[in-house]
Amino acid sequence: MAESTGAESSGDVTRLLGEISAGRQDALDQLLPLVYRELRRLAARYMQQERAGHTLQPTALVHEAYLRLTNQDRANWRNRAQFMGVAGQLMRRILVDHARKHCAAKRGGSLVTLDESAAKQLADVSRPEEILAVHLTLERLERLDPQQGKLVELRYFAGLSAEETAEAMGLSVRSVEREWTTAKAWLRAQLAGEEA
Amino acid sequence: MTRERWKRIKQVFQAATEQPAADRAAYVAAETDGDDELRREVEKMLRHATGSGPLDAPAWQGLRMEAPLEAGALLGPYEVVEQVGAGGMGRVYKARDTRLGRTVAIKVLNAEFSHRLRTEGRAISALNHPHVCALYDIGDQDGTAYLVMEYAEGETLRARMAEGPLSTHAVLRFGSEIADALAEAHAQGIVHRDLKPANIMITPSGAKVLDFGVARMLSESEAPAEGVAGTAAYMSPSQLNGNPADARSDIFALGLVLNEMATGTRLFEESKLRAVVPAALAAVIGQCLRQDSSKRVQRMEDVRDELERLRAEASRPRTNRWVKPALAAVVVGLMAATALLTLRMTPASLPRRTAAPVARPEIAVGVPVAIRPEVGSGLPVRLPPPTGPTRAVVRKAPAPAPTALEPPAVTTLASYSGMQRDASFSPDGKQVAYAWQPNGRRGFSIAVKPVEWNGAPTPLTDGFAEDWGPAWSPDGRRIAFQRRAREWGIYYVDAEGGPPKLVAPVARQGAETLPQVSWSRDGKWIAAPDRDQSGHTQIYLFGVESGEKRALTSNYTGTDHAPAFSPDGKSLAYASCAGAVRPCDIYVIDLDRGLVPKTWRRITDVGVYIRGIAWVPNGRELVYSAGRTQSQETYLWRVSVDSPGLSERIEIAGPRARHPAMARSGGLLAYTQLNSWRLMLVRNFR
Repeated sequence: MAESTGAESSGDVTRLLGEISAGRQDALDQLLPLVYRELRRLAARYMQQERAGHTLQPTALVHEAYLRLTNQDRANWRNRAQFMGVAGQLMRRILVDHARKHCAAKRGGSLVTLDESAAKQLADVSRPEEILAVHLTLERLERLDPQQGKLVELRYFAGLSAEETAEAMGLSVRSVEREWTTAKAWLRAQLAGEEA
Repeated sequence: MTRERWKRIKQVFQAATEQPAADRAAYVAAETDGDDELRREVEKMLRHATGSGPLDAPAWQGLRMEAPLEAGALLGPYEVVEQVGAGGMGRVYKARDTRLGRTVAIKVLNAEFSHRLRTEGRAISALNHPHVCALYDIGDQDGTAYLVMEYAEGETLRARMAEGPLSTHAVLRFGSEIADALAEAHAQGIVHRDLKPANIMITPSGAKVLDFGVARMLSESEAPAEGVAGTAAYMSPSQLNGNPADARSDIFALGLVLNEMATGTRLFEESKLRAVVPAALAAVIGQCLRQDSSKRVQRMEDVRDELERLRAEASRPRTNRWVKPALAAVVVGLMAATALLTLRMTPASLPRRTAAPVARPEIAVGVPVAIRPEVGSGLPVRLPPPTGPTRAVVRKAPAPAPTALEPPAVTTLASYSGMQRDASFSPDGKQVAYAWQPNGRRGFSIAVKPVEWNGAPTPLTDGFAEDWGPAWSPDGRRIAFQRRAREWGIYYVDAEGGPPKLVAPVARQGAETLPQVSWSRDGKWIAAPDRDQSGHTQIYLFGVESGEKRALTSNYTGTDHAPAFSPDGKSLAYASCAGAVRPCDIYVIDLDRGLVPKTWRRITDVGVYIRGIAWVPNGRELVYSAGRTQSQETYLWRVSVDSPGLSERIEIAGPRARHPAMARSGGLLAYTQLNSWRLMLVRNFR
């Protein structure tokens, strides 16, 4: 099962990434499902480990997906940047889907625990709500500033570091830090619901 | 906001953050000169630029996503086939039990429930009912708890109701099935506590209730800060107030489920309900849903009886409507508050049933434990209903009952080279199967020979293992047996020959041999002993095709063995031993059509060492092999099942007789003679 993305698809992913770099849009359409599947799988696994108390490198997930899908090391920065861009977008989708389901289930009241202390122990009580809220607010921001949208996807949804985000976006680390501070401040202000 | 506006906000904000903190306000005021809206926007962002808050950690950090297991993933001995559902508590998978080869359903609990489910030392409820989805096992892997259940093909009632309300016919059918399952559980002291449409499967054979007692396991392990486990929408008012759920909470939940089945909505409005179902059914449901539990109908069996009566009535011609007084009594109770009484009964003449709330339930108590009082005193056991016999005084009987025909006579049935044991007659009584170890061979194989002919027997298995205890199936096509050594298990082989087929592996037995197995009358089940997790041996039913395994007995101190289905297939005799091999007595379980135990009857009270049980074809007596001690001196005895009393010793078989078998007709009784290891045959045994 772990090897479901074998040599064939790693070749595919590398080729597709190359084609995307060459500007072929249909290559992206082919790539997305491959990456999406892998990310979903990894995300689920990582989150389970998270629960079990393992400390994770925040970026480990997307890295691992990249390495698994392409069999390439970090040297091929161009493909890597392409890949990270796609991964950020897909991670956002995965997490938002998950959060939606979670919130729907809560609203549907499929199972409640009327135990306060138990509820407090659940670290992620607000997490899915946060993800959904960030996603919706970000939709407003990216209409004004697509670059900000991409950046938040990479930093927040994919969990890349500033350096990796810089590499993926072709920006300086300093720019990434500045843009991230801005995006974060704006999003938080919106989420806090303060009157403009 | 426009792009230009945002660009400007961003510009001012970014420039401001590069100023020393003390100068920022002045800088922003200067930059936004007169544009108050812009100033407020930037100031707001500056307030949120520092400190901790949302977006500090990557989105998926700290988020719990329960990973779906992939096909082939292993949970203990269970191999995941596919996900079949997901609910509030976790995901449900179809899986294969790699030990038994059977299909099971596994519910993997989400983290928040996982850590609350205390698994160790928690015996599995032995609820065995055609409308209960049996819980086989509770496991734990890396802190993730899972429940292993009978795999039921079908859909949940919740999914079914998504298509709309059910017909009255369906409400009555499923309703009475669910009520029957709950009534049975309540009788055993088990309360469901979380009955809801998602916990009810609609299968081709009717409704099956899932997750019995799971809610209780969850909340119990939370002690002392006990919360309320269950699904709020289906909780009774008293349960919601934190009172412990009792049988009446299940009754309330059933009322809600019935109402929802009929109306398609969870909301109970009596007028709406009465518009779609007959008044009597609406009254039953209404009575289940009284807010005050003391005014509610008190016993699930009353609900079941009433639903069954309505169901029978609905399928009966309308001219023959009458109510049995006992049922009418229930209905009076049911309807007292609703004033819906119709003209069919005369309340004054009917006794009112008193409330009998079920005592604090105990899970894991499935079936009575067979222990003699003197052995079991001080142990928390329930004894089977007393059946009268006092400790038997062994009385010598000269021979089987006198008959006008030929007197009984003993002949040799099989005496070839080596050893033979464990005879079983074919249904027509013309052939006998037995375990045979010819000289020079390593182990016993299953062999067949004609009763009236002493030519060479036909071996059916290869003799590389130890194949003992053959049992001929009622249709004569198969011979079940126990394979010991190599791969321990229950197997069968075609009577005509062919490769043996594994029905189910069983635990390795100790030095003692418990070879006897028995077919159900329809040939779908084989009853056989197997050791449970606690090291005690119970009688199980093994599904020949389904691979299912159902416990029939639960002996907490010793060994149950030597199962023997009665000729009519409605009862099962077995030996129940308080210790590993003795002292034992014979019990008979009366089974319903689904082979679910109804009653236990104690047949002997002798506390002996038992080596095999066979029914006399009249279905009213048993022949068994027993000795006072675990010595070789074991006689055959005969005892009445209908009016248990003294056992008669069958003198003609002598002191080394074991493993009796009877042909269905012809008065043939076979047994294994110890020491000589021959099969002997008593003719004219009546």
